[in-house]
Amino acid sequence: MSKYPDDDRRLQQLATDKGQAWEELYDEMRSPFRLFFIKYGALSSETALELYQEAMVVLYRNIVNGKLHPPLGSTLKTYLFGIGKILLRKKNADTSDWDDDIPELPVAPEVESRQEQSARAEWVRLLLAKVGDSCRQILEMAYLRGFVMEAIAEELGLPSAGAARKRKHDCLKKLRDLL
Amino acid sequence: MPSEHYDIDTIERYLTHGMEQEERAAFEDRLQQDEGYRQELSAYQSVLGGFQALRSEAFRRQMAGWEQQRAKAGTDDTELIEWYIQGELAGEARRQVEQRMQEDESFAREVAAYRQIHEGFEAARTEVFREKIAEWEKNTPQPAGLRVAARRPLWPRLAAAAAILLLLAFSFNWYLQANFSKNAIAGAYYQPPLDGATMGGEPTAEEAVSQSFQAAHRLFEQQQYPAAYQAFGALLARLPNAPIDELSRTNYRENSEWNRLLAALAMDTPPLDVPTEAQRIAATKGHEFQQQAQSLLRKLNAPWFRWVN
Repeated sequence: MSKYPDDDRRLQQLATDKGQAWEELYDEMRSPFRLFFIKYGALSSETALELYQEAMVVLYRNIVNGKLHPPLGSTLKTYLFGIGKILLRKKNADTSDWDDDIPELPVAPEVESRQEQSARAEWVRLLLAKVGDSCRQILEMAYLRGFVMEAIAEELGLPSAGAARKRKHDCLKKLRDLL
Repeated sequence: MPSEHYDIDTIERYLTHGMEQEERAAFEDRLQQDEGYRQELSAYQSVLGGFQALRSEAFRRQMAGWEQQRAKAGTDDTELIEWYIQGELAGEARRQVEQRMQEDESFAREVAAYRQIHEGFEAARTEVFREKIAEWEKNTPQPAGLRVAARRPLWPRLAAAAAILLLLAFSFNWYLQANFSKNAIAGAYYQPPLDGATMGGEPTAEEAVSQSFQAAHRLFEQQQYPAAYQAFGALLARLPNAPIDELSRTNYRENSEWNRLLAALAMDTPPLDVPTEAQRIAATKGHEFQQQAQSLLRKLNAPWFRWVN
C-alpha cells in the first residue's frame, strides 16, 4: 500500500514526461526550496538557486534511470530537499541541526562534478557520431528523448515494439564494440 | 568470453533498475563468478552513464530556459522582499538584504513600497476580522434588557457594496485580458531558445541555423509577430536540407513549429489555421510541445477565449 499515492502518480508522470511535468515541478518547488536553504543554510539567494538546480538534476537522473520508483518512502518534496541537504553537506556545510526538518534519506545522489558530466557527455557524443545514422537515430530516441519502444517502432516504421527493442540492442552493442 | 555471449537486455535491466530483488541477487551472484561478465557490465555502464550525462545536460538547458522566462518576469526580488518583510529571513540572508537596501536605492524603495502594501493588507485583514467579531456579537442572543437597537444609515453600506462590485468587475476583466487574450496566450506559451547542443555536424552550418533560430526568437520577443512567423517559417523550410545532426534538426523543427504557431495566434489575421496546427502538434507522439499544444487547445476552446477575442 502506497503511503504517498499522489506523489507516486506524479513520479510515474515525471519518468515518462519530456518537459511539462518537470517544468511544473520546477516551478512548484523553486520558492519553498530556496526559502528553506536561505533560511537554514544561510545561503544567498543566488547560491540557493544553484543548489536547487543541482538537486533537480540529481532528482531528474534518479527518476529517468529508474533508480527512484514507486512506492515512495517520502514525498517528492522531502526527497528533493534531502538531496539539497546532502549536496550542501558535500560542500562541507554543517546541517546537523536541521535533522528534525528534513530526515536522512537513502538517496545516495551520485554527485559528480559538472566537468565529469560534460566529459562523459562529450564521449558519448563522439561515439554516436561514429555509429552510423540509423543507429544514432534509434539510440537517441531511446536514451536521450525517452521514447518507449512502441513509439520508436511507430516512428521508424518497424513492425513491433519487439523489433524496435532488438534494433536498439543491436545498435547499443555496435556502440559498445567501439570501445 | 566474447561480448556477444552476454545478454544486453539483462545487463541493461540491471543498470536501469528494472530487476526485481530476487533476479538482481541472482545476477549479482553470476557477476561474482564471471570476470568477463563484469567487464561487459562495466563497458555498458560507461555507455549508459554517458547517455545519462547527455540527458542531464539537456535538462540543465531546459532549466536555463525556464530561468530566462522567470528573469523576464523579475519575480525573484519580489519574493525575496516578501520573505524579508514577513520575517522569514534570518542571519546571513537577512543581513544581505539589509546591506543591499543600503547600497541600492531602488531596491530600498521597492522594499518600502512592498512594506506599505503588506501593512495595508494586514490592516484590511484586521478590519475584516473586526467586522466578523461585530457579526458574531450581533448573532449572539443577549438578555432582553441588554439588547440595544443599533440603527445605522444604509447608504454607506450600499456605496461600499457598489464599490466592491465595480472593483470585482475591473479585476475580472483584467484577469480575462491577462489570461485569455491572444497576445497573453502567445506570451504564456512561448518557449525561449536554449543554447544549442549538437551532436556532430559542421560547426559553421550549425551556427548558421542557430543564428536564424535566435533571430526568429528575437523577433517574437520584440512582439513582431508577422516577422517572427516568417522567420520561423523560413527556418522550417531550410531545416530538411541543413547539414546538422538529427537530434538538433528535430529540436529546431519542433521549437520552430510551436513558436510559429504562437506567432500566428498573436496576429490579427493568422496566415495559418491555428486550431488545426495546434491539433496536429497535440496529436504528434513525441513532439516536444505535444502537451503544451493540448493545453493550448483547451484554452482556445474555453468560452472566455471567445469572449475576450
